Amino acid sequence: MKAGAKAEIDMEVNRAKEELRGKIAGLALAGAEKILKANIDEKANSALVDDLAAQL
Amino acid sequence: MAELSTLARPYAKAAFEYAVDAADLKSWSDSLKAASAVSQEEKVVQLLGAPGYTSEQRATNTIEICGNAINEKSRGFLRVLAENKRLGLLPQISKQFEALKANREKTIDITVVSAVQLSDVQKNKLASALSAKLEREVNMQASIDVSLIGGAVVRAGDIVIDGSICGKLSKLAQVLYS
Repeated sequence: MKAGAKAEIDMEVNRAKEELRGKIAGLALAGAEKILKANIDEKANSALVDDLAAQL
Repeated sequence: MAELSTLARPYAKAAFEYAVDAADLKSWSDSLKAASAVSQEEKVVQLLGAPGYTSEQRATNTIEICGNAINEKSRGFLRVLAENKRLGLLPQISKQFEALKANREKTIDITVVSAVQLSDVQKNKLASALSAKLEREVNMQASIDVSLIGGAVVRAGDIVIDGSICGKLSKLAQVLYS
């Protein structure tokens, strides 16, 4: 009885953790995208393209 | 010889176009080479030149000798050749097929999608890096997609090289969500 309840609690905790993780990931990505969009300029962009050419 | 190559051209072209559509260039090239080699064997030449055989028999014999060295579709091709009494053109057809194949493989169309307009210097840099990597001439088409945020995505045939911010973000997303 006690063990069963504990397992259930553990499961709930894990589920909550997963949910939080997903939300944080979404927030972090949205933030990163916003910052990148605001900060990207011609110089950074051409550096990216040069990197790509070098990678090939 | 000029006449032979003129006669062979439509056959080579038809086989090539079929092979391109079926994305089966390699196996067609091998099949035609094999069939051409068979058709040049002295005994086969004698057999094909001998009277009293129907074109169907000639085709069947040639196909039998080629065995598994030729693919299924090129067997039909050999039958058509036999029907038109053109089995002797096989060496020419194979040669022209190879020429068409080499020509096709020399240049490749690539598309570069970038977040902002690329400078000519950058385009040249990408094109030369790609042609070195793919060992072919490249024919570049550039377009713009602002949703990439930054960087560029290169597509060459079935190869995609993603150097865009958008692509990097989605890679990050995969790591975070997993």
